[in-house]
Parts: sequence; structure tokens; C-alpha cells
Amino acid sequence: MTGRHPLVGALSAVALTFLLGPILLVVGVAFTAGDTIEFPPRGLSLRWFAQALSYGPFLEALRTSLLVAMAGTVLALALGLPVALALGRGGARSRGAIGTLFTLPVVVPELVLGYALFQILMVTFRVSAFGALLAGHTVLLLPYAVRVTGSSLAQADRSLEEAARGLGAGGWATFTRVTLPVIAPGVAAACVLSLVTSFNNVPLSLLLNGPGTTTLPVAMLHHVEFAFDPLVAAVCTLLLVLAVAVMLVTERLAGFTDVFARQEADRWRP
Amino acid sequence: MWRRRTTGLLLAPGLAVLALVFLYPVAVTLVAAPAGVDDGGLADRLGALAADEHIWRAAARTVRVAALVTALCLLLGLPVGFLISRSPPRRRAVLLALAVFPLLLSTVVRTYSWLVILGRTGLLSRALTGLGLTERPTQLLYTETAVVIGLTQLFTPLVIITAYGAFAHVHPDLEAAARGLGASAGSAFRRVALPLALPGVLVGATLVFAGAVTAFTTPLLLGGTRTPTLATLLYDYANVTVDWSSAAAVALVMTVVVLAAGALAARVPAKAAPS
Amino acid sequence: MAAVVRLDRVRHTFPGVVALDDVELTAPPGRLTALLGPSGCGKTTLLRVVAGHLRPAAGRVLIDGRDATALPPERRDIGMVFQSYALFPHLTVAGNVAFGLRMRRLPRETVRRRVGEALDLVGLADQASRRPHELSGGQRQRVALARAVTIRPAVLLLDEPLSSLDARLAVQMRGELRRVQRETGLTAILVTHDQEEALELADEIAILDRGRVVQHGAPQEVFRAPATRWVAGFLGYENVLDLPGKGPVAVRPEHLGVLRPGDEAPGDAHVVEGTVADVRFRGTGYTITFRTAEGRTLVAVSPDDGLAPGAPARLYVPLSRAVGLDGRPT
Repeated sequence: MTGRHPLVGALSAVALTFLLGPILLVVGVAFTAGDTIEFPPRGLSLRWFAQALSYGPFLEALRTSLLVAMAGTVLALALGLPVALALGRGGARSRGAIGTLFTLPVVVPELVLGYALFQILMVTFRVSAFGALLAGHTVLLLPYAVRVTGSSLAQADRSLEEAARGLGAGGWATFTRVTLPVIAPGVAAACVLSLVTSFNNVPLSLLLNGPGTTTLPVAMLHHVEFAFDPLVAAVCTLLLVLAVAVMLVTERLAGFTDVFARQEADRWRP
Repeated sequence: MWRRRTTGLLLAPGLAVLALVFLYPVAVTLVAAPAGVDDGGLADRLGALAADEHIWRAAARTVRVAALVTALCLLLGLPVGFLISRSPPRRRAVLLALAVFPLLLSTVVRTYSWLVILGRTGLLSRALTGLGLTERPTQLLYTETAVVIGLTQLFTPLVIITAYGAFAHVHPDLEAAARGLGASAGSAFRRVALPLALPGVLVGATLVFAGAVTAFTTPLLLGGTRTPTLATLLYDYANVTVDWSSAAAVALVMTVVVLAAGALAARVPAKAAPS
Repeated sequence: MAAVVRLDRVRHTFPGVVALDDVELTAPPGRLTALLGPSGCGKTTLLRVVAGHLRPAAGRVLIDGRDATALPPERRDIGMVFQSYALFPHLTVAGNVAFGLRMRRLPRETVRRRVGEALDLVGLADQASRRPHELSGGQRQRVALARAVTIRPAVLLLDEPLSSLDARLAVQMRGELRRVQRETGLTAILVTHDQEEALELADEIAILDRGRVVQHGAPQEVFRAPATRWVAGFLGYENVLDLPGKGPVAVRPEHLGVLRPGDEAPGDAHVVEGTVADVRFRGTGYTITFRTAEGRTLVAVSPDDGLAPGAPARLYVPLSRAVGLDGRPT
């Protein structure tokens, strides 16, 4: 087996260390008793965690982040699932073109989208910062919602729906009692992917900034730009724990690596 | 199969939001002038573009950095992707999870660690001083190198994932056959596995390139204001100097570069893939 | 309860293909009609048109004399067994069987009783709380059948119901399918590409070729007197030869007799001279390929070999088994 070649193993070890080592380093920094970002930490304490959990701007930003992520996910799915159904089961002749249209928001640079929304929604149409932020996140998540639920639909056996129809179920009953339960893992995957994508987004959140609409990554970014204390290291560590939890839950729901690996790799395939 | 009306009703809300919150704003920003802003539209933008050597310098840097990052990501990611594809199922799942895990973290979190390592009082600087290689603390932050390192770490998972997918489709028996015909492990990889996986690997490379061109957080934190890329320059024009025309010009350049890379990705594999 | 299904000049096309070419067909009440044909002949399309999953481009579907062409599937009162079974993976066996009854908003007690009856009918009463993925192929097949008949449909449609089973089980399930159809007395339409299955199960067989019904009749009639050369070939009349006075005829390999040296052919048979081209062992006997003096290739089945390639051989064609092709369209 060429996979057993020592060179492959060695290069992989280097790569994985480079990939994960720095992230773990931050955990060490977070436990420092000192006042600056330092590794190895100067003494051990939980003081930066205590401070992070009581730091007003971060808590408020967290609230905003969660609110936007959840509302954006709900909106993206509410808009995206019908689109996926229409593309996957409807008789639209221009399916290919419409499908491609819905992948565009991921292809256009986020910073460009953020800038465009800032200029058009906030400056021209005087939409509130929160409205623009939510709109931006929704449109950013829409492609994921359409694609993930769409691939779930494509995999589902169409004759299940025909069987339901033949047994007397109308269009709506077929959708709620057969289609939706069958694609539930795909919908769950779309939710997780959307929540994570929105929660981690920086460019849109940064440009669509207004009073009370600072998200957590943006608040962290601002903090890092002006202060050199390990507060952000503590937040990073907490987010790392959250990410592990998300990974475990997703693995249960729909297969973690499937959801994240496939979606990232498929971004450019309409 | 439903009637056309049902299909239309399902599509309408999504299309409406897409048009209002995406297509219209982006189109207006990139090619026309928004109402109430003193801007002559595309002509002015191209004028700003031609006159502004900042933009050209940033564009050159961005493409240079992205190309370098793509090469480094391939170097690091290909072996891991290959290793995962040839691992037994359990180990494959663990390795894949490790490689994909960073994608769950915000770029702020992933970039933050490099502040710890590359800063003036960071790990690397002190290691260099400690080993007697440098006399004074070295500032590695706010350089192009720092941006390249940070982005490479950010995007390596994409190459791992796509390379894994591509290698997984190359049956290990093909390499075994090559070995049986007298090829060494190395040349079985080079002459059989790699060519067959190439289309998938190219998709991964394009993803990295496009990602590196548009990356914002990492160049902002690790490059600072002294080494602007297109992304940080756009942010600067939009938010700090409030120069609409220039910001839109940068947005246009960035979009063109990314779409060109995307178009390339869409075409190359189709041609290279064995039918 | 049993209804007549009549197709009136049903026509359907897919891009570049005429899937159904003005099909006229009547499936009589309480009988099992098999649609037999090779893949791509339009038989599954026809079934989907009857079920209402496909709206034909032209023509009418009449169920018990009523025009059902425009009715959606849920209002046609049709039970269907899919090739993939299409069991709902998120529901138990009982939940699958109950689905159609719940859609009809029957009282809970009625649903419970009829699900029990249906599972008894197919012998799966002890599997009611299992999920489809926990069942064997044969069990899934029975659940699909129970689900289709429990709604007491006007018509039962069977789309290649045995093709996903391994050969031995498929043969066993034929009996089961026949029993359930007889006991329920339903009008049934079976789509299959397996002539043996069609001959064994059906009261009537309709043979489809390129979107047209080329022959329709009782199994014996269709088998003994193929209407066209194509049907003859499709039904296994592989050998075509010229008989003096009878013109071209077709004969099945198992009806060609092999004469040993010194043997006499039976009285009503025609003898053909040739050489052995190939001998292949096939378990129960040998498949022997001959080349006749006129250059035709004939295939016969013989219980013993004793023949070697290159050896001269004599064959006989029982005249009662030869199907005359003269006058039959291709």
C-alpha cells in the first residue's frame, strides 16, 4: 500500500500539527495567570475565563450572534427548502439556471456582498443595521439551505412520495408525513451548517455594523486590534469547546464529516 | 410532479429575497451608481481603478499571496488527503474529523493563535532568541509572510477534503497493479493515483485560491495596515476613508478575480476527468 | 369491488422517444394482466400513467368506465407495489400498512383491525413493530403488498415486484403474489420483463414492444402462437429455419431433438443435417450449437453430450412445435 509509505505519514504528521497545534496553543494561553498573551503561560488560573464570562460587550455580542444565526437559519430554510423542492420535484424548465442563481451568494466575495448591502440597504434605503445584518446573513445561508436539503431530496427515493400519493395522501400530507421525515437528516445538517456559518461570519457582520449589532467574532476582532490581553484566548477556548459539542451532535444527526466536508468541497459545483 | 403554479409559488419567495437582497445590491454596487451617492458609475470606477496604484499594488500582493498559499496548502494537504483515503474506516473517520474540525471555528479564533506564535514576545521570537539565532526579539507579525502562514493554516482543510474525495475514487487496486508491473510506491502515486485524482485536486486548489483572494480577517490581523490586500483595502475605503468609488473599484477587481478562478474550476475538471 | 381498467389510445413521449404509441388495452375485472416486454418497451410508463404519476400526452385512462385521466394519484383508489418497494423508512411495518387507511381518516379501531388482517394475509403479524431496514427482501416485498391491498383498491398495480429478490425467493414469492391476488379478488396489472413469471402468474398477457401492445391474450395462446417474429424471438423461439412446404418457422431450443447415429426421427418431424459447432455444459444438460448445411445456426438443449465440436449431427424439428412465421409481421 502506497498509503503506508513513511513519507506520506511524516508529511501528514507535519500538516496536522501545523493545522491543530496553534489552536491548542491558544488553550494554554487562556489559562495564564499573567496579563499578556504568552506561551507557555505564566502561572495557571481561570481568571481570564471568569472575566470573559462577565465581560459585557462580549456577552451582548454573543446574544446578537446567536439571535442573527438562529433567525438567519430559520429564514434561510423557510426560503430555501421550498426552492429545493421546486428544483428537485417541480416541473420548472429552467431548473439549471435557477439552481445556479441560488449558488451565487457563496461565489461573490462576502466582503463585496457586505459592502453592497451596506451601501444599498443601509445608506440608500435606510434599513436598520440589524435588518441589514439579518438580510445579509439570510442571503449568505440561502445557498447552503438550498443545496443541502436539495441533495437530501435528490437521494430520497421518489417512489416513496408516489407511494404516499397512491395511498391517498395529498400534496401537503405527502410533504409533512413522508418527504420531510425522510429528508430530516438533510434539514438538520442544513441547520447546523447555517448556524455555524452565520455564527463565524466576519466580513458581513463587520460591514453591517451599527449600534447593538456587533457580533461575537467582530467584538473579538476589535478587542484583539486594541488590547493585547488573553481575554480573547479564553473566549477562543470556550468556542473550541462549543465546536467540539457541535461536532459530536452533528455526528449523531447526520454524520459530521459528511456535512462539513461535502459542503465546503461542493461550493463551486452548481 | 406538480403543476407549474405550485412550482412557481415555491420559488417566488426565495427568488424575491435573492433579487432584492443580493442581485440588485451587488449589481448596482459593482456596475452602476447607487442613488444619492456622487459617483459616475462604471466609468468613474474604472477611472479610479486606473489612477489608483494602491489598488494595483494590493491586487498584485493578493494574487501573489493567494498563489503561494495555494501551493503550500497543496503541499500540506495532499499527503493527508491521500493518507486518509487509504486508511482503514475507523482511522479514516478520526483523521477526517481532525482535518475538518477547524472549519467549525471562526477565522478570528484560528488566526488568533498566530498572534501568540508570531508576535514580538511570541513563541517563535523567543525561541529564536533563546537559541541565540537572533539578538533582539523579532517582529514576524504584520508581514506578508505572516499572512501567508495564517492563510495556509486556514485553507489546508479544504485541500485535505477535496484530495481525500478525489483519492477515494481512485481504487487502491490501480496502485497495486502499478506496483505489480514494477512501479515503486512513489511512482505508483505519481503516475497512477495523482493523475486520476487531479481534477478533484484542482477543484480544491481553486477553492483555496478564491478563498485566499477574498480572505479578510487573517490579512487584517496578521498583515496589519502596512501590507494591505484587496480585502483589507476594500474595508479601508468603505469604512475608514469612506471613498465609495474606490471601494466599489476594489470590489469589482476582487469579484472578477474570484469569478475567473471559479470559471476555471468549473471548466478544467470537466475536461481533465476521465470519461 | 374489482374494476375494469381501460386505456384508450394512450400516448406519451419523452424527449426523442415515443414511450407509449396509442396504446389500447383492457384489464378485465378480478383478473391479473401481465405487461411483458424488454426494458424500455414502455411498460413501466404505462403503469405510471394508470397510477396517475404521469399524465399522458394524449388518450384516456378509464377505471370502471369513469375517466380518471385528470385525477391525481391520491384520488384514483389504486394500490401499487413498487419495484423498490418504496416502504417509508421512518415508519414501522404497521405504520406503513396503516398509512393509506389513515389518509382515508378511518377510525383508529378500524385501522388497527385492517392492518392486522393485512399482515395476517402476508404472514407478517409478528413483524408489525419492525422498521423496513430490519426486514429481509422477501419480508419487505410482503409489507409492500399488504400496504397496497389493505386500502381495498379498485386496482392493484405491481411494478416488477419480484425483480429485486434473488432467483429462488422470487419463484417462491410468485405463489404468494398469486394467492393474495386470488384471495382479494382484485383487478391486477403486473409489469415484468420475466416471461416465465408472466406465464405463471397472469390470466392474460399483453406484450409490449416500442410503446405498442403487439399481442394480448391468454398465456397459452401467446406462448404457442406468437403474433410477430419479434414476439417469437422475445419468447425464446431462437431457431429460425426453412421447412419444405411450410416456409420459415421458429422453434425453441428445448424442442429441437438431437438424433444419435442410427436413431430414427419421429413420424411428424423434419430432419436437419449439420455439424456441431460448440457444446456447453449447463448443469441439467448441454447447450449444443449446430451449423446447418445452409449456413444457419441452430441451438438445441440435450440431456447428454456424446457430441464433440466438428462432429456431424442430425436434428429433428417436431412439426407441432414449429411456429410458422410466414404472414406474421416482424
